[in-house]
This record gives sequence, C-alpha cells and structure tokens, in this order.
Amino acid sequence: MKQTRLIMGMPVTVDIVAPNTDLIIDKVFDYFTYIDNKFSVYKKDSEIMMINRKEISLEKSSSDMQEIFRLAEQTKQETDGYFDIINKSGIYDPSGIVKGWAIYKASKIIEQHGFFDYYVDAGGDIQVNGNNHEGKPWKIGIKNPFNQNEIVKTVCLRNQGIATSGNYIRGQHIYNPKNKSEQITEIVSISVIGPNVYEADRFATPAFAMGKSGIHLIERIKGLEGYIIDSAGIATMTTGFEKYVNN
Amino acid sequence: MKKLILSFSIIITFTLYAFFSNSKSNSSPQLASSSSDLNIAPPQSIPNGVMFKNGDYTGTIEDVYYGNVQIKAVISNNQLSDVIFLQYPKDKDNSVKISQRAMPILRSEAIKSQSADVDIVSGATETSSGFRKSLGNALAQAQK
Repeated sequence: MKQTRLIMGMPVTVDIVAPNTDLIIDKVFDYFTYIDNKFSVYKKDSEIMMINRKEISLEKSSSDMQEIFRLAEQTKQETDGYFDIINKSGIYDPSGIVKGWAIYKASKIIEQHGFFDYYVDAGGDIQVNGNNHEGKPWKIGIKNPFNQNEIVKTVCLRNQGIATSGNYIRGQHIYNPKNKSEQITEIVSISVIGPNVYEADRFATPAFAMGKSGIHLIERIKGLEGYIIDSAGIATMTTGFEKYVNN
Repeated sequence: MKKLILSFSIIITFTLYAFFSNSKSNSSPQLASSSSDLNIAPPQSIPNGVMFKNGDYTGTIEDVYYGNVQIKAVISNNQLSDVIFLQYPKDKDNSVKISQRAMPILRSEAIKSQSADVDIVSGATETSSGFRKSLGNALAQAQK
C-alpha cells in the first residue's frame, strides 16, 4: 500500500509491499509530524525554537534532541566544518540532518511491524528495503536538474538510502556584486547513495555546499557513492557508483 | 486567509518561474534524449490571473546555513521575467585535507534523459527556504 502526505513542507511517501498496512502507514506519518513539531524552526513552539530562545538548555531537552545535536557535531567533525547546524544568525537549525535521520527511524517502525519490502521517501531522500512490487530491487531515478519531469540516471538499490541535495532554480545572472568576474560555483545537484538514508543525507548536504569538490568528499568516504551534476549538464561519479546503475 | 492567499500566490509564481525557465531553450544544456515513454506526469498548466507591477524588486537577504541568498525579481509585461541572484552562497576555500590528497580521476558524462520506468524519483526539493523567502518578499513588493 502506498500513501503520500505533505509534512515538514514536503511530500512524504510510504510504500509497503503488503496489503492492509494503512494503520502502520498512519504511524509512520504520525512520526513525521512528531519530528516536524520538535525540530522545525518555522514552528514557534517547537523544542528547537525553545532551545534557540534559551527557554530550555540542551542538557534538559529530550533524548531525541540531544541525539541530533550529538550526530550534528560528529558530522561537523567529519566534514571539516562544512556541515554546521548553527547558521549565520546564530540559530540552531538541524534540518540538514534531521530529515535523513527521521526517514531512517520511520523505516524502522515499518520493520518493527514485520514488513521488510518498503520505501520511505521524504522530499526526494529515500530509504529502500527489500524488493519492489515486482519482487525486484527498487528502481530509483535521479531527477534532471534542468527539467524536473525527466530523469537522467537510474539506480537499483536494496536496503540502502539515497539523498539528493541541489538547487535547480538558478538565474542566468549569478554574479558577485563586489567582483563581477568572479565565478561562482556551478553545480546544480549531488545524489549520494549510502548504507542508509541517514548516512547519505548527512553527507549530501555538505557535499553540495562544497561545490565541485563535493564529489571528492563522497569518494573519500567508504560506503558512499555519488553522482554530481554541474550547470553545463556534465555529471561526475565516484569510482564505485556504476555498480548501482541500471542499464 | 490572507496568509493562505499569499502562500498560494507565491506557489503559483514559483510554478510560473519554473515553467518559464524550463521553456527557455537557450538556457539549458541540450540533452541527448533516448527512448520513448516517459510515464511521468506532464507539467502543470499555468494558471492565469497573477499580475505584477513592472519593475525590479529586491528581496530580503536570507540565511541558508552555508551563506546568504538574495533575489531580485524582474517584472516585465506584468509577469515574472527574470530572477537574479544578488547573493548566492560561495563555497568555502577548499579544505586543506582534501586538496592535498592525490585524488583519483573520476568518470564524467553528459547527462541524458532516460526512460522513466522507475519506482521512485530522487531529487532536491527546494531545501533552500531562504531562496523562497527572498523571492517571495520581492514578489510581495511587486504586488503592492
């Protein structure tokens, strides 16, 4: 059974290859709503905003919140600071790490109920497990950054995650007003395959921030493969990426 | 109710812009298209009725965690005709650790449109809500 709902400002799809799983699917969506209420910086009563307003300390916050901060710190170390949940205004916004983590945890809810052929997709970051409705590995298409009705690569995954970070809407007039001849990094998307969507997502975010060298971050990390697309439509892939490609 | 109308009109203008930028053939790379049936839904039809005042409108500077985004919206013929990035996050200087390693040569290819016979699609949502906010702010000024 498959259902899609809009949560956390994005479409969330749950597909379990089994009939009569609507109650489990409800639980998965409830979990995403719980995550949104806790971690969204757009909800003034969320726990993260209470931390940002110093109404509660991290030490007194929930165990899920403390876990996210710990994981964020670990990711920051591993990416030489390219990943940081504190933004320039000094606000903590862990959305770059919460999404993949929440999808992964949501998939565990499905497994706890005894189902192992499923996928959970939140805004294009996906955890897949087992087989699809045809009994084969899940086939995932990577969106064309220049035309989102097309795909430009297909990969087959089983028990893995894939996350795509990107910015498809770029004007043709990107310039630095202080230095007009300065070239601004021209990559439009990076897709990362990992052992689960949490690992894929937490590195896709900083890899995109690094521009063209982001693919080398992914190449460097064992267990991750990546596919980066630049603004000229040239894609570069890590050395192990092709084993996932469906021909 | 006002918020609903505002967010709805922002979504519409976004769709307008996305359609506009997709239909400009000189701005996208030419893709070699391969096979046949794309069973992905066709582009949404463009709704009528959203009108803006001609001119340039500069949006707010918004923080995305790795830098700032600021948009200027250009309205001509009462429609969004261009979106200019006044500020866009730059990548930081290359990490010393990465640049000093010997890196393998990675394979590159031109992307090409493929058959869309897939179970799921992975793509970026516009995760930079700072972009949306700056553009939304510029468009809200254009509506006054």
